[in-house]
Amino acid sequence: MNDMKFWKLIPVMLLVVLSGCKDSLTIDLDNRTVAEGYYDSAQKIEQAVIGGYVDLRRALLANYGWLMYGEARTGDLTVAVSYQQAVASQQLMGADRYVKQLTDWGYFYDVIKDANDVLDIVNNANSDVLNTSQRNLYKGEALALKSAAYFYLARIWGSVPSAEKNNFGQLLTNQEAVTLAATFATEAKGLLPWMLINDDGIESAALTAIRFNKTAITSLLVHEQLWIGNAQNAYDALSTTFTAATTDSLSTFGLSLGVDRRTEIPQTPLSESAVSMPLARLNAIYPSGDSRRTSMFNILTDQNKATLKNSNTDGLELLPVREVNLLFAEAAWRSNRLDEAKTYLVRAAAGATEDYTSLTEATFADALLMERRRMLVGTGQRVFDLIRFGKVSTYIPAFTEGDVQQGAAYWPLSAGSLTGNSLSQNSYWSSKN
Amino acid sequence: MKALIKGACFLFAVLILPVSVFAQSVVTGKVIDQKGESVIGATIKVKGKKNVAVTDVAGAFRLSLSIGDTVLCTSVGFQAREVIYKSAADLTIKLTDDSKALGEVLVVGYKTQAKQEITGSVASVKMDKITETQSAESFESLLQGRIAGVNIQLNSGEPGASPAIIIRGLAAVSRDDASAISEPLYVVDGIPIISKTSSEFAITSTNVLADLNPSDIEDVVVLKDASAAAIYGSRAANGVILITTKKGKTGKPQINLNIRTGVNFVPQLLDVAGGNKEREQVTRLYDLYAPYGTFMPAMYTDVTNPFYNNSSDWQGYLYNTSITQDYNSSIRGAGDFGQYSISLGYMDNQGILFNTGFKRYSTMASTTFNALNKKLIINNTLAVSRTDQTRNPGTLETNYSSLLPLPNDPQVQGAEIYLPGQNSSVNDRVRFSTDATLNLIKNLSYKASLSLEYLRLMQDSFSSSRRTLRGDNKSGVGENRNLLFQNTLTYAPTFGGHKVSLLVGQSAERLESKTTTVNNVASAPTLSETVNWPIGNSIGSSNYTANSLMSFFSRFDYSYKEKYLVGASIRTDGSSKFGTANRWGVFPSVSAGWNFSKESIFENVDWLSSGKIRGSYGLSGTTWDNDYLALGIMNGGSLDQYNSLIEIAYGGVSGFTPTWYDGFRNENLTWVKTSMSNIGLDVSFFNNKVEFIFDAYEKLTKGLLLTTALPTTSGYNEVYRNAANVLNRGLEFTVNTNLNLGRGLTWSTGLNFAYNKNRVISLPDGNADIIKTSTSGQDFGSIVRVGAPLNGFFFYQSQGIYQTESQIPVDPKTGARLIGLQNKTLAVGDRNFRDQNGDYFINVSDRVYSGDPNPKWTGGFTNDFNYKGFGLNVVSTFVIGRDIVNTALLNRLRLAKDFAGATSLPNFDNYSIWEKSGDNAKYPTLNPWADASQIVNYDSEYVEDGSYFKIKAATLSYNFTKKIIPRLPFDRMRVYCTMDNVVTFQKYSGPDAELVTVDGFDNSGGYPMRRMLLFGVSIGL
Repeated sequence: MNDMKFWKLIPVMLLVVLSGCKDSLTIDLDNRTVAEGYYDSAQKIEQAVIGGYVDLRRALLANYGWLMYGEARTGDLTVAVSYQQAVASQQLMGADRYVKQLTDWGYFYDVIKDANDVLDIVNNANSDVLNTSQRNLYKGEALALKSAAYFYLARIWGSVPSAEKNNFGQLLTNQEAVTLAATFATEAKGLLPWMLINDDGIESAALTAIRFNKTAITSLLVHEQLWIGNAQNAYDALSTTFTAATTDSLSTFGLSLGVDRRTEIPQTPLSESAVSMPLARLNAIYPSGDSRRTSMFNILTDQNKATLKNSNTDGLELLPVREVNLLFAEAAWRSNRLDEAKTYLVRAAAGATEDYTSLTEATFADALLMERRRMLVGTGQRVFDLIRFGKVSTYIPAFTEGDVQQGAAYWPLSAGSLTGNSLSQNSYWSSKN
Repeated sequence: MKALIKGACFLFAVLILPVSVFAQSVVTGKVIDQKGESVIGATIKVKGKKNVAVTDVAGAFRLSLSIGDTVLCTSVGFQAREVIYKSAADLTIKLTDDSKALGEVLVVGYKTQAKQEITGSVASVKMDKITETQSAESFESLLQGRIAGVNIQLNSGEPGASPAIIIRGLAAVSRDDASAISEPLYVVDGIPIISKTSSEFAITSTNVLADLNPSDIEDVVVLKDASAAAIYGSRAANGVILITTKKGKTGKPQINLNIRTGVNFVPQLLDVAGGNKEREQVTRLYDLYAPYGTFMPAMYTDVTNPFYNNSSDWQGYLYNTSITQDYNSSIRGAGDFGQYSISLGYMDNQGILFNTGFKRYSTMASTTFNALNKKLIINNTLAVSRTDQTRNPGTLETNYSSLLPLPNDPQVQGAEIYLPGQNSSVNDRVRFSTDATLNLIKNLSYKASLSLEYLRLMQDSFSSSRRTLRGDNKSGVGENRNLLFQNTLTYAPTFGGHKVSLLVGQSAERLESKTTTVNNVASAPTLSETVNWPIGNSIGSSNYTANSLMSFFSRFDYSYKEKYLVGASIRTDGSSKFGTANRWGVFPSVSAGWNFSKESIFENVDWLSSGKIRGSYGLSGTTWDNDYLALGIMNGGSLDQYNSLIEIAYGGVSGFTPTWYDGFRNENLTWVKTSMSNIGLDVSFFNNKVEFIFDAYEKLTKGLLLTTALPTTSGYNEVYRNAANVLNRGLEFTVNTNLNLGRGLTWSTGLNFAYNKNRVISLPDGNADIIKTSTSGQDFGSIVRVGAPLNGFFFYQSQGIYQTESQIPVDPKTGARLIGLQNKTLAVGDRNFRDQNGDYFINVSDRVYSGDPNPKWTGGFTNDFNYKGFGLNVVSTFVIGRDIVNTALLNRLRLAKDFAGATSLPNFDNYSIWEKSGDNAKYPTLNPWADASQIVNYDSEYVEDGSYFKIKAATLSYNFTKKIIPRLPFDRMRVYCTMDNVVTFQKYSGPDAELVTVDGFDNSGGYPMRRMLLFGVSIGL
């Protein structure tokens, strides 16, 4: 019994106990990714920027949102979905789950969250990760995305809460929200290049067309300034940016179409089977002789409709280059330069049958609105234009001018937006409850 | 002390052995029991010598003995006894019963404890008697009805299905999982085992616990209250089930053989109209309701159709009597060297449904070595098992129209009734554990144990279509590894009347799971179980997850003269599932007990054998399946329905943002904590003939994990939070009697019943109701609401049927009539649902809380009669006060336009169905052409009383012993016949009120429960 010295076992036991104490509670996440420490190269940071575009695409394309907030709501375009009728008849508080989803602004705030994350990532990135031009590009894109998201939010829902760190959750008036968006756009305008450069170091038109560039951010900024009534600033921004020297650098901006794991995002959003214009509407908007009847549409008389000729199957245009002259026209007109405005309108409206040289201060607005309707069909701006021109009740007969004053032109808020942010519907939609 | 004496005796015996050889003489003796009757087959051994004798029919033995020898006498059913041979006379050894009530020692957390010293709520079940005469795939079903407060529901009759076990009320909340239940922790021989696989890693759906052969289990102890369970800390909140496997017993080697065969009979199936009756019913529906120009399908009208007069019994064709075979053998023994136990088991349980079944192969070897004169005790256990569950490769319909010919009809051979192919789910488990106990000094011992468990789940399925020849292969493997290392130090001194036991311990555990699956679709199938890789359309995926748990624990027990008892335990658990901020949880408990019967005032009270009052309070926890939930995992792409990875593409670059998480990263996620208080009373009367146990408890589960909404402006939709609280309160009663009715007839009963009331205390988002919805948007019809029991039915309130037009309410303001569900224009004969909110429009907002699927009373009643060699044992279980939904009937009454010929029809005569005004009917018109059916999913009329009383098993056995048949070639032999699932008394109109999901919906369509008649013989060599 004595041949066993128990003390010999004590170190063995200690070893055993101590080996259990080492930090076994940390699991190597070999097959998972966590945000912390992930963004350590320019390519990975670019992924985060791209994530913002994907969220913007989700916000605008889910349930054909960009049209539902725009031409589908006014009936100019018809989308072959069950909820088109509810939207066109302004039944926006119904039980239809797609209409309910359209009232949810979640994806727009995802864009803002992404943009803010990118700004944090870019600001914290070392110089060996990002060079100056990359840093400017990603920061500019993030600011532009954020600006675009706030601008869409304000134009669709009126007054919206801030998602900025300094005043998170605070309700911004429509004016405040767009002013905020314009601040971001102004900053972005100084950072974004005219043309983006691909991995091979070559200027890429394809890349520039689907990401924010100088043309797009200027158009966006001008839009925002026109919305908040700063026509002079808008005019200045246009005339200092778009000069003779920069004409060759202009680029359309649109959303790249591609695969998303959210299956409700259409990959061909303007496909002929989905989106069309009723023939009567086409005839009313584009009189016979207007060359855009055939340049922009396939007229299917037997089906009593016209479908959009879609030259760009890779992208969905949001801020096309052709709008620049229209923006010039509007900024000039609103800053009391009627003659200059007419020149821009005539330049823009190639193919129109009307003679715009004889427009007066009183008739210019309607003509410009009509040309915007004709030229920008499919970009989702129609309702925003009606609000900006004060013509909602004219073109949406379901609303009286009183309804519009109460906020009928804006969308009602979803249940989630209301409860999650302690908000209430505007007076028009609360009366419809 | 005892060990030292034993050691000294051993030494002494060894030393004097050479001398005493010359002094020994042959002694005759007798072994008797307490009543003075002789004990047959008892083993008598001389310690330290090879002399062994076995008593004969008269209980007599002959053995060479020397004065001073220590004689060890053992016999099954008796406590082993050591006698020192003092004087050279005949030796009479009196054995006492190894009785259940007295001096019983139970395994509790990390130690054993005498039953009378236990202060928590602990129940135990001796399994050997149960498993001897009953055959089951897994031990849980054998526990049914035996322990108060442990509700075991077999909700499917499919071989290999997992029963639902809920101890002291449900405490699990989810938004999208109808079957979320609070599962207990399973511990086998001191080692927590893998008892389930999380849904993401479950390759097979076979009950993981079915690979533990019930015949290997000696006893099962259930730790119900927090003071007993808290030592298991973060996993103990739903109770702990401690399983002790059989070990060898001192004496001659026990060789046991148990051979049984069962016949599984098909129980009551769905009621089917059949043949002409079906045609009559279809004709009648067409006559009554078919719109102009709609005609019956030709199969009902064309008399030249060869199957016109057919009346196929589809259920009879696909359900058939089947056979269960179950063989178990073991050899066990023990001695001074230690013990050994080796067992083998084979079970083949054919299912009553075509092409289904379950097989188990199991073996277990357990050895104990005593070294250094019992200073060092080493245990090794190796358990290897395989279960093999067979299923149909596709869905198998059993309710085709009875006019359709059965596939065995030569005219329709090759009809696509079931897919040719196979689907086998194989689970392999290897469990190896070794532990060493070192008795350092007196009363102080150290134990280190190491366990490695490996569970492999494999599923191979192959099916092909007879018509298109397209074949589907699927092959999946899941591996789960559990490595556990634990150390405990026990100090248990006794001085005077004071008995102290202090334990400190540490354990570290790591559980890893990995899956790999591959699919293959081929137009020209090769009849093979393997996926031919790499054909262009073969797609594979794999997944891995791991978690680790680190624990430190301690328990302290003190008793004074076995009268006053105090206990306390504390455990702290750290888990990798949580962020570093909230990684550790502390789970303490305290308890006290008073054996009042030992007080002097009860000294002369003969009728009171023992009495104890106990009380306890403690905190324990639970976690969740997802190992990485708190870590904020980014999710850039996902698998689509064809299992290919969708990469999010934008302009040729893939997006990957921090917001694409599995929800928001919440570093504050922490343990679900359950506090439980318990008071109890154990009394036994009349020399333990009557035993009464009472417990009352309150179990408050706090911080159940739920997603809660985030402000939509945050960029996230939801976040997991410890958000919901659930309260369970209950009472438990157990009455055991043990009566000797004279003339050799004994009758013992065990009655237990438990009452539990379940209530949701708080929910996230301002206590907002949770209407359970699957991730794909399907409404389950269940609601979680504050103040109400969990998972209540959220249904439309039926007020009968509209008999006249005037009964349909009209809005006085608008003059518009009430509009039914799905905008239906209501008509006479439609279901009259109550318009709860008075908006003259029946829609989702008119649903109300309509029933509680949680059983209020559960329990069981066992009866044992023994007369000479005969034994009759009846086990029953019951559930009282539970609502269930007859979804099976609802689905069959809901007829669509193309109902004719699609499925079998129930016999409408058996149901009260509205046809014309004045019909006092329960079910509305079955008009298949109505613009919206009034047979709707969530109609409160289908809520029924789910109470039942089930005679679960009845066994008749006869025990042959050498006393009865002296020339019996074995030590003993029991022949028995057991009927399983004997009869169910219920109010429920469906087939079986037990075959119901946890949330209360009928599940009988899934697989009915067979009735088994088992014949067996158990032989002890």
